[in-house]
Amino acid sequence: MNTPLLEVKDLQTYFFSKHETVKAVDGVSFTVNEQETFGLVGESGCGKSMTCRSILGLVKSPGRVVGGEILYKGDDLLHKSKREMQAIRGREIGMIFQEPMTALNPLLKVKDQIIDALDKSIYNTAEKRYNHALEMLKLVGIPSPESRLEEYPHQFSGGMRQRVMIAIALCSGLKLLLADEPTTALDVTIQDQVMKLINRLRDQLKMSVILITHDLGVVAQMCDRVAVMYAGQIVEMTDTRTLFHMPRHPYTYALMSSLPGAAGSSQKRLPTIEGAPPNLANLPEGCPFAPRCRFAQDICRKEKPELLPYEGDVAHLVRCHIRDGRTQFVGATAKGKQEGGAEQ
Amino acid sequence: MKNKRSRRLSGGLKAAFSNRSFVIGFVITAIVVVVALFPQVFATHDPNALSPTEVLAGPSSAHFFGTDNYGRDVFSRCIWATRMDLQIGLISASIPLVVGSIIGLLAGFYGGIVDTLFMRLLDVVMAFPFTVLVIAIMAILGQGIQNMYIAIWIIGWVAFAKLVRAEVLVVKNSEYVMAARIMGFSDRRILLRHILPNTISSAIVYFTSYIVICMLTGASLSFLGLGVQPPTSEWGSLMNMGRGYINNAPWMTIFPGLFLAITGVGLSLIGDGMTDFLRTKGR
Amino acid sequence: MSTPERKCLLELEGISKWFPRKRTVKDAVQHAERQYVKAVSDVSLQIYEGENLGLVGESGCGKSTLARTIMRLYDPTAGQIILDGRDITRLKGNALRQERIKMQMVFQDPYSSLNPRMTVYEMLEEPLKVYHFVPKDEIPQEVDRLLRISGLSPEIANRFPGEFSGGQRQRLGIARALALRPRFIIADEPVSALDVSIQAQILNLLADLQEELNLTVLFISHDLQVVRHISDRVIVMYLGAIVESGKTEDVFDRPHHPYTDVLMKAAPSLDVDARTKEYAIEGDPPSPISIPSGCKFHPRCTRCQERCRTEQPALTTLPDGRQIACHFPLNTDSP
Repeated sequence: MNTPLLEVKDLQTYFFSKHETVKAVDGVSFTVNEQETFGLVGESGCGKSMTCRSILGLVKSPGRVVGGEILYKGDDLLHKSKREMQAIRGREIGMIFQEPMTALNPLLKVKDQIIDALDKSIYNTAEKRYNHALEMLKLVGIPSPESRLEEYPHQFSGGMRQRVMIAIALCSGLKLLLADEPTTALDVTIQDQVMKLINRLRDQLKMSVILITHDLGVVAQMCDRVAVMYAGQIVEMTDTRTLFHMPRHPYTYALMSSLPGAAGSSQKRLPTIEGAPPNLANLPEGCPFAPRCRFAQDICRKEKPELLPYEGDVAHLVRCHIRDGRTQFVGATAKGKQEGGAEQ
Repeated sequence: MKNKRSRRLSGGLKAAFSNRSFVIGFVITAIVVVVALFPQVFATHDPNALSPTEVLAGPSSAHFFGTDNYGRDVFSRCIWATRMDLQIGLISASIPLVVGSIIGLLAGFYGGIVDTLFMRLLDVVMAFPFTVLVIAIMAILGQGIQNMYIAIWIIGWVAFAKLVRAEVLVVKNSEYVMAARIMGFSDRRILLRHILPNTISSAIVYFTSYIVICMLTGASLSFLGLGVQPPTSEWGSLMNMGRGYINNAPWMTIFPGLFLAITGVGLSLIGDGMTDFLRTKGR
Repeated sequence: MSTPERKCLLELEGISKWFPRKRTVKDAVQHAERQYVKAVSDVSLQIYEGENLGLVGESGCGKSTLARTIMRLYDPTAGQIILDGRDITRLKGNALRQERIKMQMVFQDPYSSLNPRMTVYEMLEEPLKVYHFVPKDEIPQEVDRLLRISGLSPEIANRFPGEFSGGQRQRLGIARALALRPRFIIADEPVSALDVSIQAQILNLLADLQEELNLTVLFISHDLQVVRHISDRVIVMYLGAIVESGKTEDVFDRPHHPYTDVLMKAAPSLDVDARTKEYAIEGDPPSPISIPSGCKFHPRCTRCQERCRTEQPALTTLPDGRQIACHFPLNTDSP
């Protein structure tokens, strides 16, 4: 259970233009164990999607992975040839996206799209391929799969399309599924179904999932471990329960308390994070969160903090200078939960 | 708010001139326009002066592009033809731009029976190749440059109307147009201030390539003897004249063709560049 | 609702909006009946002065169509819209214009809701000029004021919307909606396209403005937590009709309609320990073209009985002012 399937070490993905270099992913390290769901959480532009694209070797020019290692079962994916990467994508590591319609071919029947993704050497007869395609649709819980196999993507609803995407991604026995905001475009009831479907398939097929999302609710319901990203870096990484009960980074804490419903409904004003995320081409000198941080001190504006274990706990990494004043807002969370009011 | 307009203009120009294809296209077109405005500066000879002693002479230092079958200087004739061709391009393309855009705007915005009628008419016109239709209309109207303009106008609006209408259909359902309607603005204001500025860019891009199409059509009509009449020089008619001598005096055909091609490339590059920066500016 | 002292600002009486489907040649030959997309059917509601009414439902439930019908962007197929005591359902031209500026709208997508080719100043100045709302020489001050109350710096007036982030653009959308000093604002998913940290800022701004300017707000959202936070009263829609309404806390704490219950169960909870494997509900919502007979929710309802398949439950008002359309409601003694 604890052998890492994927190990990302100090990944750096930059975008280059004439005038500036945008550090979309700036030294990200994490591991994904077998059969776990690992969450990458953050707001738009924090580098979570780019991390995911880097793993699959799908970073488009002018972006480039400029440093780091991505070890999949011990092999560095960054040293694979294009052809080797193609073999790994789809066979070993698959991906599903936010908008399944753009990832499906509108002119092909669902049946053909699933069959195209199959390994022809294993499924060597047309009958085997058809049966497996049928099996996959059943697996992802699409009703009356026989007739739906003959339909085109536009005849499916959003949630059903996402299921088809999952079926295609999973049809050749993946070990790792990258899910980039898989439920964001869906309605709550459908989101609920897709979330639970991915959870079930993970256990059933014994695979790992990297879930990219901005929605803390989805994280709480799906992830075993989570990394919170801000301005291209991981600011906090731990198991999901610890993250929700004892967030140690001011950003994680602020994010959670700014959610309506997190601190109780009696409160009329939500605690906010003032300002907007920094420009990745022109980061402040110190901690990138310092300009928006309520706890920022002089050192925060001058020195970049390291991602270090919190109070010696190697399973809980935090990138923050302020390690003693933390009780301040941890107390506030507890208070917020009880009385439904945290200080502004 | 005096600096408002200048700020918008400078912003637009800055975007335009940081685009490479636009800059190259702009330089080429600017040279062509200068040539068209002041041909006398560039021409080395009188374009219509006959010189029986120098008939069909090859390119030399005296005649850069050689001479034609009457001994006229091909270089000077090409230079003078620039004015004619640019005029053809501009006059035949601008009326369709204006008329077509207005029709597209109104048809797309109001929809209904008028829209349906225009669109069916448009389908009919579009079903025929452009040049064939122009020739057919000219066959009715008779030859000559005025009739050529009229023929191109009759057909040309179609493409602009279709382009603009398609954009209007998208923009009219956008939330900012909805907001304008909620504010109770008049249709005229919504059309002119909110829809037109956001739909016209593709028509303007097409306009640059349409000038080229019109110039080519003008040239081919002249080539067929329908458009510009001799002795006025025009690239198409120059090429037409050279056709008979293509084996022993290829310069008579090649050089006017080159002028036409370079102008076409210049305008197309402008169009290409505009597509790039107009698209990105939208967001 | 049982608050007679409050004045009703907007009243809808049996509003329906059906969109005809295009007839194909085949339909015409076969004399098939014209089909309709029944986006909104028979919706009646009251919005009281100064309140924030939440409107909740999934995509396709008709909440946006209802908003646009109230705004008279669509003509209702049936029913009446009464704004401030005056029936505006059939008003046209200038009369409509004069009434409608009492209502404004804030849109979901901060990118497509601002004209990309107008500066901030031009955008805010336009309605003031058209309606001669303030004397000409006071327009710049008024634009400043609008930007300030929306939490923006007046210095940005000469910039184009493309230069701003999503949160700032949404503030601009709010500033524009306030330009004509409306009494009633429809906010159609105003925060669902925004990042979490920005979402809180905009929600606070809306709450503040509502209080300061004594606005009445119809807040449309698919996010129950957001509605729970900001709304005083909530209406739940399913397939074009109201299935439940009432005071926010009441509805969320003790949902009567099985669909409301499902919505709440489906929303991902922040509680890590509350994970379940069961779906909150199976299947997709049916298409608004072929709406099920009887109770619209019956094919997906776990409590469905024979009566639900045939008889459509009416929206009935309970003694405490809550309304519900269900034969066998939850959490109640008197159905």
